[in-house]
Amino acid sequence: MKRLFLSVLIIVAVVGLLAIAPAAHAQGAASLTATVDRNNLAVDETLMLTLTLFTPDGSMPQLSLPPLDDFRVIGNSQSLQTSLINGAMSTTTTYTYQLQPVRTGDLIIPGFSLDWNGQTLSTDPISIPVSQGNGASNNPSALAAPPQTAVAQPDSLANRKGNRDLFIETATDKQSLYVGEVVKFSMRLYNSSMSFGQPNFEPPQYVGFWHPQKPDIRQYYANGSDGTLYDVTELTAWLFPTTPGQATIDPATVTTSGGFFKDGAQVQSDPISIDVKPLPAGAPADFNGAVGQFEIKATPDRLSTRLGEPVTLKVELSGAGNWGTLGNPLWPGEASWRVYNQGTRSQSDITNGQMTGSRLYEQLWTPLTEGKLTLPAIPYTYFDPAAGQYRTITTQAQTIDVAPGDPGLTASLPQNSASGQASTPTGAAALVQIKSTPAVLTSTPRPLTQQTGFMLLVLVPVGLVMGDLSLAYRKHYMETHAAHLRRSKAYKRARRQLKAISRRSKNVQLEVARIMLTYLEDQIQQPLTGLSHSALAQVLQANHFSPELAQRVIETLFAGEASEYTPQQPASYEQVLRSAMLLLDDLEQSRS
Amino acid sequence: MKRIGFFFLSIILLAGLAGIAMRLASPSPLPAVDRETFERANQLYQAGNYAAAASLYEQLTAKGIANPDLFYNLGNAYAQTGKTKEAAEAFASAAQLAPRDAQVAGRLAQAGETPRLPVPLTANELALGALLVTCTLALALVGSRHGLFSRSNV
Repeated sequence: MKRLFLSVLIIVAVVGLLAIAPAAHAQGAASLTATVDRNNLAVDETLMLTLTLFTPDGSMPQLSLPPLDDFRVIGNSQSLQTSLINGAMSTTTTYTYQLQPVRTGDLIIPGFSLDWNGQTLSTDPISIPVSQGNGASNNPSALAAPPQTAVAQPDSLANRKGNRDLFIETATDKQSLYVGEVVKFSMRLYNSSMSFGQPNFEPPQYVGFWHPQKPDIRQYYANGSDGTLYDVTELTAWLFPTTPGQATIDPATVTTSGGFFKDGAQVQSDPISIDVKPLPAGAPADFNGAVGQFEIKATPDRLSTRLGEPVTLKVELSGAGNWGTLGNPLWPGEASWRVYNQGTRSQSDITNGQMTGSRLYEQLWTPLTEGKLTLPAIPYTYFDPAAGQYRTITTQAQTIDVAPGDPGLTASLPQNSASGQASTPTGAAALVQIKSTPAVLTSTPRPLTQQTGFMLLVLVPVGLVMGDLSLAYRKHYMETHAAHLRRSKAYKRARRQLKAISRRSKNVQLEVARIMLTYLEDQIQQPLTGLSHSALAQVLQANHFSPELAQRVIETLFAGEASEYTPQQPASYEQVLRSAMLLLDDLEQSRS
Repeated sequence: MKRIGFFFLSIILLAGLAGIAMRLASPSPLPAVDRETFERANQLYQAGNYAAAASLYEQLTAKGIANPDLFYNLGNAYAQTGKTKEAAEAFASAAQLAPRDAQVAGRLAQAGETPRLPVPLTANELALGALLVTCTLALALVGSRHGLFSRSNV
């Protein structure tokens, strides 16, 4: 029964420990990979080198591009993706470099290495065959830029940070705007210093903004007013504020690694604060967050049909505005139709500082009755920031002739949503209900396995077993080494007892005799009480005590016995103790 | 009598360890401003502004807030904007924090993902269970060494 119980406990413990293993494994290991978007190219073409660094602990070690002998860096960008899984933060940083070969032949992009927490992450070198080009470039934006233009402020709002050799200019085209209105953020890095490798650039964080895509990055050369030639990297991002209040574009940071004659430098731009105004009160009920200028139109694929046979209605919303964050139209309810969503297609792009796009909804409208039915006008409300007011646009209502058909086709049709409206324009996924805001929003702390307090708790069972085993070992040791322990402690115990004899003791000599006798019994491991003086002398000499020491012992013991029965003038307290101590030391020395 | 005392002390020890561990793993309430952000994101989602909603949810997760409802809503917002990979990751995160939530499990399955842990327990629940099992095993070893499970000691 006992064995069975223990077996069950061991199995449960092993299963429990195995079960926790995946959580620890989920931490994963760091990795660094390097990829290129093409395997060969001409000398006048460029390729994209992508370095992807994954760190499972959320750290962001800096990765600098080493000097490349065979390539020239045309542009670079960096993106960061952070994920939080079970409280553990991991980070994937992607560095993208646009490279142009400087000669023909089999060129090598060297391997990269990085030290991460003592672990060396590295990539393999990449070989790229480069052929003679025809003069055409696949990167018009980078190479078509004027090679030497005057250094100019991006616009009147620009602010500059840095020194003559390395500085950053940042600007926004607006300082005050509405929620959802686009703001253009520009940043130019001017670098005239000859440094090892490329500057390490950390773009700003756009907290409080939605931004549609990676920022545009261009690189070109420009001359300053004093003739200094600058390597210019220009970044442009379009941002859409999501909440009213003061939104801040965090500073961008550039770090150079230095050169032969100067140290590295770091330049940080000023943060830019933008006043984000809330949308005016009194928004129409169907307003869904669209900000900009929009158009809407609806086109049925036919104007006549039969009962139960659907009409495909394409509704297209187009214009310029916050395409990433605007809502769908609120579809009007219509009891004569069953409406199903076929799908939605969206596209958007940045053109001339505006985010233009379109969203095409495709729906099936199935008539439930015969006769002339109306496809209702579909309204759409948006906020026009230029005019500062809400506008409502609508599609044209359409009349559809519905001829008699098979009533059975309509009998099995599922119902529209509860309100009778086709309010799920993006398909089934839009029906998914989200979790409502809890009364108290809580956050789970770090996993227990990453908390020091929990690891201390884990030591409790270990300590329990170790403590029990230690006590058992100590007990066993004392049992098997009792004689040795008694002998080894005899001297210390006797000295302690001698020192403890009080001046007020009734019979100092008797106490000394008892202590001395106990000491000898511990040393010899046999009882000595009751032996005659001659027998005691024989025992002591048999145990390698000299006759002289044996005689002193006998005298001491005799003095103790005599003091008990025969009153006599005792020696002084100090003298008795000193003699006893001396005898004890001599005995101990003799034993050792 | 000795056996009863040992069991009594064992229960106190296990309860104490469980209490401390649960205290370490207990969720902490967040400031009202985060709750307002969550509420605002929910409103944007309900209004069909999925990308804006996702942006606000992301702000909360970027602050290190690990809440299953938050990840679930973020996953739905991602799904609505076509970011299926990010949605699957968010659902997986939600499932790790709330592995017995049927809604979360359903969305995780729809995303084609499987739970990261093989049992419907959170990592903290597994850690707590392993601690208690290990402690029970240690106590059983100590008890058996002292003969507390033999019949003669009843």
